[in-house]
Amino acid sequence: MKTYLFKTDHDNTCPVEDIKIFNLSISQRENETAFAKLVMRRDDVLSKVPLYASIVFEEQNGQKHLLFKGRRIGFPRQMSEHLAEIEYTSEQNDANRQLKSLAETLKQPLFYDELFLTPGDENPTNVLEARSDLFSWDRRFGNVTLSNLFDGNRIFDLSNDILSNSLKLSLGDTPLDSVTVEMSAEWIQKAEGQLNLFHQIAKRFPKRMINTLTPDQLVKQWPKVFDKIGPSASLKQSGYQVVQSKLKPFIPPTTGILDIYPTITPPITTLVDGQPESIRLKRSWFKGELWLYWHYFQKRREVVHFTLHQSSQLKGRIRARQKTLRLQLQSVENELVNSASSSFFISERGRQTIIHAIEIAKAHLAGSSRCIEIEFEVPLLSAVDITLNDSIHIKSDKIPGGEVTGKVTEYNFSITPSGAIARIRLGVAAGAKENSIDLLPKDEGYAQEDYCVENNQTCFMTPSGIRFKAYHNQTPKEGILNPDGLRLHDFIKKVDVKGDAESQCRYLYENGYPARENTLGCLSEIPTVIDVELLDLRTKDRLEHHIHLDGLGTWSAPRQIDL
Amino acid sequence: MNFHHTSKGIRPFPIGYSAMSTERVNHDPPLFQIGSVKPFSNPIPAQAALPKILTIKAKLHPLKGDDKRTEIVMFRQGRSFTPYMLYQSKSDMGENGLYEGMQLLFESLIEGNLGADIPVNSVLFEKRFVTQGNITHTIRQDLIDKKVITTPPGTEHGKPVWGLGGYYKDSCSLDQIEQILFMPIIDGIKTEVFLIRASVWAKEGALSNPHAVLMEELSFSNLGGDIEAGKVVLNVSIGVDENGNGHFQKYTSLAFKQNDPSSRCVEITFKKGENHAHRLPRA
Repeated sequence: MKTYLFKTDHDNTCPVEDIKIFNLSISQRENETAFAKLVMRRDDVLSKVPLYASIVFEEQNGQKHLLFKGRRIGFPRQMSEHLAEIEYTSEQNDANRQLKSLAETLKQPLFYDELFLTPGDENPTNVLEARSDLFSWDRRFGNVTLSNLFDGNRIFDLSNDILSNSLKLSLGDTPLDSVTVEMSAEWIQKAEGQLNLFHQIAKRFPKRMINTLTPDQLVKQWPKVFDKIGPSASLKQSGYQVVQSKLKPFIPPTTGILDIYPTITPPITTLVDGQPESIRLKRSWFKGELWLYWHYFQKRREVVHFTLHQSSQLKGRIRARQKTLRLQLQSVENELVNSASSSFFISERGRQTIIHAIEIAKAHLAGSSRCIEIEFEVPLLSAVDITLNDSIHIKSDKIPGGEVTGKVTEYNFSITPSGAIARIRLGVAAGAKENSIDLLPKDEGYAQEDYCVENNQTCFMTPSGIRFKAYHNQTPKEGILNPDGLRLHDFIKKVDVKGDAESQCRYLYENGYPARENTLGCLSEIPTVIDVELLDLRTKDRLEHHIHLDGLGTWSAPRQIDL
Repeated sequence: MNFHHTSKGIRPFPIGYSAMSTERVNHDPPLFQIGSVKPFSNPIPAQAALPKILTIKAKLHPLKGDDKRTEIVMFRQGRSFTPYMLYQSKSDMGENGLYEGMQLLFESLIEGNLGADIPVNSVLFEKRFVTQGNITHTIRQDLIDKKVITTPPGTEHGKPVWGLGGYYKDSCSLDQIEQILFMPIIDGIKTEVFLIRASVWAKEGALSNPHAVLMEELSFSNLGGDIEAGKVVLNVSIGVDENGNGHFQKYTSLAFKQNDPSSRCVEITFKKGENHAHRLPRA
């Protein structure tokens, strides 16, 4: 067995002559590129070691295996009088470009959602947030691929190659029993419009038209354009403002077909110059308009709660571990059905974010589920092709259940004068089911691409097959839920008219001459007053609404070992 | 390149969007009141609001009928005299005394406030004049069985007098606008007419010609006299009562002034009269 170092240029590869590698170590862990450490003669390190190199391992029969290709990292790490250690990394010069290119292909709906990301954050790893995958760098070819947490692209059986006493099995981090998600979205619910109050006021008067014996007061106090609406002792910030206003006296039809619009009162007796005199007062009629602009800007916060459980063979045997994710979405104002929406999550777009959040929760469960670690050593020749993108199957009576299939999470190839050994570590999921997806049993209903019906209840499904019950009946309760749908009668809570012309007339008859000499002065006691109460548009700091997802299925990692 | 930060749970989630508080956006109850006790001014009785004297500007609008071929023919003892074309006379009275009527149209209010608009060109007053139709007037005087038979009937031994029309010409005074009369006469072999103003007739017509017989009922007053006599009436609406009766303030003409006779305009002063009520027609 011999190890060679090749100088690797852009176009060709040629061996570096007269160089001896005393020790070689190639190692790689998940989420990292591979590193190679070479111990050589000090002079060789200083003069012959190329910047870009390949490491080739040659069997005794002459068959050669490419072990590593990479770029030298800086200056020798250690140097003694005769020896020096140099380090190479498998990271390629175009690693960033490769990563971005791969990430772009993974920006798929439901697995990638910019509402979960800081605007401008182009970190490629964002695409992994809702996936049970990692980026994996190949130590020999420098390319990056997506590697599943549980299933490698290839499965090697090394049952017969494990060196004696090297097999170790240990319990890693406890798998999460559940992930609880609180996902919130905030926005300002915005609605505005205009309404004409005039006819609502007019129809409260006799003959359904504004008429009075005291027109001066009414005209003076009729709301003016730009007036804000509110109680007199307030800032009048009710959300209403006058935008058009007119109160114009007019002479109604002399006699209508069905009605009479008197423009003078019946005779009223009052004292004039000390003598009772019968007079008639002018009864004024008005046409006009009173347009109000209204606006309703209400901050809303909506929170979706759910807990995704994981079934594991360790459940009940170890202390349960939970995790809570608090996800606060970016601005959803451009994602609402319309700017007046009182709910975000109760919409198609909102449901997409819920599905994405469930996938994130599932990815967190998956990330914790490889709780069994198995480590062993094999001759390098048995593992020379193994990468982090592979699974390994082992049968051994030292393993519970007698066999296991695990994903390679770490390896170390060591070549020394005494031999060549591969030390491999596997991550093994102790899921409860053979299938990692807790799918709806077919005989309980029917399932389509994204929803199903179960016990006459609509359920939605994530791309991973996790289902949850429809939640659309959990509508918000506070504030104005559909301001865009408000009609004029919705705005009118109360219109009271006191002292219309007929009431004033009656009052003069009852309280004027002869009870009092100045009959007309009695009118000051019964002016025409209009009291209006409109729909309350008062806003709060924020209105919070909570949606709880029910019927969330249980997710399970694959059953890679029988405990 | 290490990716430890991609391990689930290590990488913090980004801080999301926080909307600003809306606590102070709308914070007052949407209540308001129109009208209140103060300030308060006493109402004014409906009729008291109208002025005692009113001056308006009116415009003269003469009414001229269609051109007519009206012939006057005299017969005496079977002999006819050359007909006279009544409305083709070239004399001042013959040429300008043929109007069928004269209207006073409202132009504008000069003094006084009625609280309501009077439409411009509304007819304030119309004086009608008597004119003759497009016919031939025949006047006969025959001696039959020792009796003088005269047509038209009732004019035995008399001379019939008819109305020619109203007199008006530019820049004339309102006193000149009056009825013109004509009396057919025989001048040699021709029929002729004698024209006379109604005011003159009223004053001396009967005396100057005791045989004249007025054939039609007509007005002897002139327009200026009519105005001064209070014949131009303005009914200003006070209002409609609860029974649908209209109440009106009557104004009667008192005097007039022609500042510029050539403009056809005249100022008329009215005085406030009694008010009255009557049932209005249903709309």
